[in-house]
Amino acid sequence: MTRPRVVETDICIIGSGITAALLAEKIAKERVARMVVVEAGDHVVPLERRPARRARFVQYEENPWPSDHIDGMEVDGIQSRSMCVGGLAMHWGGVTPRFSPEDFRVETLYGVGADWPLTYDDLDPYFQEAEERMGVAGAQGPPELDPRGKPYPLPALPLSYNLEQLYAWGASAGIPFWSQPSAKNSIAYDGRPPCCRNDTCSPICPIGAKYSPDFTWNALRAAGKVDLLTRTVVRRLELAAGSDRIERAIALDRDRPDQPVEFRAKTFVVAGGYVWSAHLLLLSASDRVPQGIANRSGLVGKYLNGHRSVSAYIDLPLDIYPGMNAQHSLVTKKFMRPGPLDRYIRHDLRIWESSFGKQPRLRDEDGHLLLGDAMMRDWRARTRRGTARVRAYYDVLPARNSELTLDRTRRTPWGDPLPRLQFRDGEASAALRGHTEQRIRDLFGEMARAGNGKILWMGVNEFQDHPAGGCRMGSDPATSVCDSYGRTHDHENLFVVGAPTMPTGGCANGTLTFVALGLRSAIAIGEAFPARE
Amino acid sequence: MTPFDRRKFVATVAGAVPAASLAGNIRTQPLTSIFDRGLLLALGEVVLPSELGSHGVERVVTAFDRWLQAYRPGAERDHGYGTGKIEHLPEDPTEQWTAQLTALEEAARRQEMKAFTDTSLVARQRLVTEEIENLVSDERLPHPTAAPHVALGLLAYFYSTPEAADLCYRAVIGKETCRSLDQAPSKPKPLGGGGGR
Repeated sequence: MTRPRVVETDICIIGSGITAALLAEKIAKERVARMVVVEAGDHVVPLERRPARRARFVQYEENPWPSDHIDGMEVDGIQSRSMCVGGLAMHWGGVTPRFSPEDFRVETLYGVGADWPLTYDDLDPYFQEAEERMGVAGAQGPPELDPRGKPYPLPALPLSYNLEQLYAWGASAGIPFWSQPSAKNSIAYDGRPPCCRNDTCSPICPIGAKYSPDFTWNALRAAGKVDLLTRTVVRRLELAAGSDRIERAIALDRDRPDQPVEFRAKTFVVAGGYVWSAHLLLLSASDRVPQGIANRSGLVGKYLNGHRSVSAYIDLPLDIYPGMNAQHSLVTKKFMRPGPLDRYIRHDLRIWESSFGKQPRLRDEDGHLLLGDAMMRDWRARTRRGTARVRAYYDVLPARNSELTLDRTRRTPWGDPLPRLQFRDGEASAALRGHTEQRIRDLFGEMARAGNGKILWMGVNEFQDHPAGGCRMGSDPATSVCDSYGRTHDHENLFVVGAPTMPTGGCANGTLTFVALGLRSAIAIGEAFPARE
Repeated sequence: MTPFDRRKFVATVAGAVPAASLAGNIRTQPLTSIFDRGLLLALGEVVLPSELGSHGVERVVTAFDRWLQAYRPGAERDHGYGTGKIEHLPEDPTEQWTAQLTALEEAARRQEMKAFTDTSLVARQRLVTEEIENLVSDERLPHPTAAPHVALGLLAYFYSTPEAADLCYRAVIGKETCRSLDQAPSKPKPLGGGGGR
């Protein structure tokens, strides 16, 4: 057998997504520790080539991130394909709401789901730190709905002419909205320029106004703070003899698959997101740990979570010009708390400009083909009113068997079982689903009436967005995989960070919370190493 | 040189041009045309709005030609959130679209006893309508790469541009172009100094 190539370090980080990047940056600043980051995918298109890649996306819908995934690593279930340096946050829209205080205490407050082993106040400084590291532009909402310890680091993205009108409409419906916080520069920040409304934030910002993790990795590598190994797939973690400590990670170099690579470290950090983190722990089963690493509770892969959405397009008598800053939205947290007469229901609510129902078309209502002047006339006549898009992410509390399992019938290119994902609502959410969705539909109807508008389309997206979980945190080793810092209950030198640790998925985009949790984990990870003076 | 050999040559040359210069830039002149340029212009007059003017139609037709030259059939399509599926762009439509232009020419000679370029706008509209009527199953415009007819490809291409939206709204919106963030709160200026809508 070929002798493995051995890489020794202090901290071995598996995965290079946004949580890993900002966690590594914090440790590099605060501690003296060698760090190796292992990424299965490739480097991404550098910033200077992104205008050209964006152009091809706009013109042809080409993937602007070639080589951002690995053929053969297909998951059965909800998976956004992204295995590359920076992970899925290379594609993200840069939307960064905080979770609300209620998200952390739903069991105590409402008798459903599970509390987190930390509170909003515990996480507030790390939310702030995450916002400062990424550069989040935001507006303070009403303090009772949107509490925060310090102001946003960047002024809010200005409301476009369209959003100003939609803001007034929201107010007429009795709902306070404000500018959605976003990791997009409203002013020059951290060496990156302000946003210039290219409007392709997701999937690609051509100028670097939107934060993406490659910026952090580039800076850390240039400063010699981390070694980042790409195209290297970690296949299992192994225990030290006679100890519960993790001794090594066994990996495969995709360019030399016959020669294993062995990472030896004092501390291992699994940062593979909601799919590949639990997958790696399950793949690491052995005679000593037949259920997998960190899995004495049997909960690795369980409680996958996210949030479903109800959306509508509403025709309104407003002067809307689609395309002014189409990916920016208004947000409210008014519905994060159940009202006194409500059965449990929590959701966010956003408004965007839209061109739905007002796009150019090939046939009119009578079925006549439209060409030339007739087509432009028809389009112009239909754009005299505007369209708003509204969407509410609502809380879905997961079942235990909302789960990632190993699919023995499907294999990676290297012969390991691929993951299978099955999202399932917990009992409370399943019972409340119809009520929840109807209440949101009713709300959209009320909003339409308040604006003298009409609903053009309304529907539910079955997809659970911003998926997380699979290694949930908790205080009790019997009911959780790791503690609130991500340290696994079973192995003192093994951490799982970010998305997989979340017990519930809240009802807002998760990325900022993933990162805030990761920064908090960095404190515990760093404690084993000397502080920088 | 057959149209398809020529296309390969042109694509090779076009590939040397930075793709950024292609984005939304419909003023660039093509190195050479894939199609019979006169036929394509005559088609453009039928499917594009007349308020573009003859220079505007020529500019859009040129940009469409250029856009097709730089097309990479089979390239990986952008993949969105929540799906593991990887899709690829459709095959090169050039051969089909060239044949469809030829068919329009033949129909004009058969029905009007004239070249397509020499027939009246009304007659050309009728000829184009006859060709595409059965290809349009609903009101939605296809993505230009997936258009089943060159007329629909040209239409879909134009109506995806910032120029078309600005023309519709008679305002300088400039969607998907780099614009000052500071100007976002302002109502878009009327197009061409006119009164707007």
